Amino acid sequence: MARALKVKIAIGCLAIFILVLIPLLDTKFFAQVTIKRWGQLSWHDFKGIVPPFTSYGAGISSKVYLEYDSSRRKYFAYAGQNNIRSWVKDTAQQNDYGLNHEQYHFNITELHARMLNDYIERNPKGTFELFALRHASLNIDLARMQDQYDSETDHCLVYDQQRRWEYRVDSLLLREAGWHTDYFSGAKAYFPDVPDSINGFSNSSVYRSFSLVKYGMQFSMFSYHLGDFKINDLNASVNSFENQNGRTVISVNVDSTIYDFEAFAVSSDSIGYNHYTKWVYSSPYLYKLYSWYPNMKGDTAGYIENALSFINSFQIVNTDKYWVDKFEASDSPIIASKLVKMERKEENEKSQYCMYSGTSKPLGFYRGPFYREDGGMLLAYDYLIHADSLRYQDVMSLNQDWYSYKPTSEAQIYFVPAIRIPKEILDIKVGYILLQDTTKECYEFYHDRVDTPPND
Amino acid sequence: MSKRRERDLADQVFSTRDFIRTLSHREFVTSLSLALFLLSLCLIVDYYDNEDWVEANETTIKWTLFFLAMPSNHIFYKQEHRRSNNFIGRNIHDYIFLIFFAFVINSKNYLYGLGFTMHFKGGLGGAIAWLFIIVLFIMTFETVIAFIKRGLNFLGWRVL
Repeated sequence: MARALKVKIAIGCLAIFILVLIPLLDTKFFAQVTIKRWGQLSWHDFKGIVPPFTSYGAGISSKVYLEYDSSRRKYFAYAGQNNIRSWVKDTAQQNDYGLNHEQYHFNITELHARMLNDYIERNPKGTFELFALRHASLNIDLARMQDQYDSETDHCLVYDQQRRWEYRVDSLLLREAGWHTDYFSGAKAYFPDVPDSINGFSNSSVYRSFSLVKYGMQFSMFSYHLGDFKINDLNASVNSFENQNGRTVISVNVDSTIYDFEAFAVSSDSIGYNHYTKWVYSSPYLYKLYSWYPNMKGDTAGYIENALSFINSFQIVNTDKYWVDKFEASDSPIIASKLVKMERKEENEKSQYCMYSGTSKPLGFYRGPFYREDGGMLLAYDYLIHADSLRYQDVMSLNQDWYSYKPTSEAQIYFVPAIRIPKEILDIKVGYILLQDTTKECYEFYHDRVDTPPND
Repeated sequence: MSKRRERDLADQVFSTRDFIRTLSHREFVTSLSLALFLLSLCLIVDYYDNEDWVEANETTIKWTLFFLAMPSNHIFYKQEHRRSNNFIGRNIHDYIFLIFFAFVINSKNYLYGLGFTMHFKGGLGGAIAWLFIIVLFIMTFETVIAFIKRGLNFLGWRVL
């Protein structure tokens, strides 16, 4: 056989070998494929053969599937991950950070599946051809976004950009559900994941907060009820606060154009973290937006973008309507009576309670009092010291009027009809009587003296 | 004398006689094996398309492989026939290669369960337009190859 022919046959055989081998490697010799619907991944979902000579630790294969649901008689899309086409090197399996990178590839796929579902919802009479066309164009966008993700994060090697992408993708997945509002203070901010809600006392002031620790960072929104609050030198106070917390101030900017005042401080600590703190005061609440991020691992631009995205999402909203609606939806009875100052309890008078009023102190966080459209007055109070199971009655005393409410695990909404509101409100006390005191001859009225509303 | 030389030159470049006269299974085996080889190399590129370098240069790599495979037909021709193919013969050999390449791509897709497809946008008119573009492309390509061949001959490397 001629030499050239032998060479050509060898080339042809080599080509056929490659054409057979690659699909076999790709399908792990036609192993059973499991398509996992979108959710949390683990390394057990990566069963494919590692491509020879690859420089990466792991790879994921996920795509958007378009199917027809015969029971609902409509098309739907979902994100699925192919376990055989997803692979991981043994050396990478100890690394959860790498798994997290792959998880966000899957999350990006889910994002596009939701976009296709939105399109299907908007076109209920659409045909398969229409949805397939949109599916194809979304696949192009999906591939582009996946490439951009890998390119900007250098396959998760650039930490801050990895965290930036995680924040961005989570936000896109959560959409409007990421907005969290404190219905007492009206503070509202965007959290890319569900934050923890913590309420309590700090240096005698009451606070409510939402806090999220994720992406190697912290995002917190605090609200303090301060009432009338005056500060002489805001710049010095912010500097002093940062120094007290062991941080070196990098910059402080103060402003009072939108709110009573706001201050934005950037500081760093000795263990390698930068801190962004924004203070906003809008009477009677003081708000603190706070974020920290590590500054010891190379570039921090992605962390800064995350911190600023969070802080800049802050706004103060009027939540009065929320409480009015909530009150109108409840059917809890309100018992009204009169307070009379007496030296002792009359022996034969069964309808009288003996009650003494202790010192006024904060018992929780509140909003109001504020007025409903018809002139009725509302006040929402969230008790933090004693749980509802320990309380016998929740009480509001308005001048000499006494309103009792059944304790509730949620915030107590106090209401006074317009007709019963005195011309001049001198004193509002809000509090409760404890169950443990009901066996005593005289009850103690644990209370907080709240701000009186303007008479209008 | 001069007229005859001109006719000989035109005959050498544009005559299909020599190519058709010696056309045998060898040309088809060359085109088939090179088409298979090109396809397998493209498959390797696809397999590694998650690697940054491959991903960034995927199209360039594939076109480079394509432009290396086409002249390889002529190298084998020269080896087997002990003479260079002429311009029109190279054009015809390129068409044979393209037909085989289209055939192996579709065969691969068919075997992988992707079906057998061959369609042109715009129907018959589109097909004719494509044919015209391909002919023009092959002629341009072979003109460039002719210049390269001259350059290689000048360097004493007579492979084409």
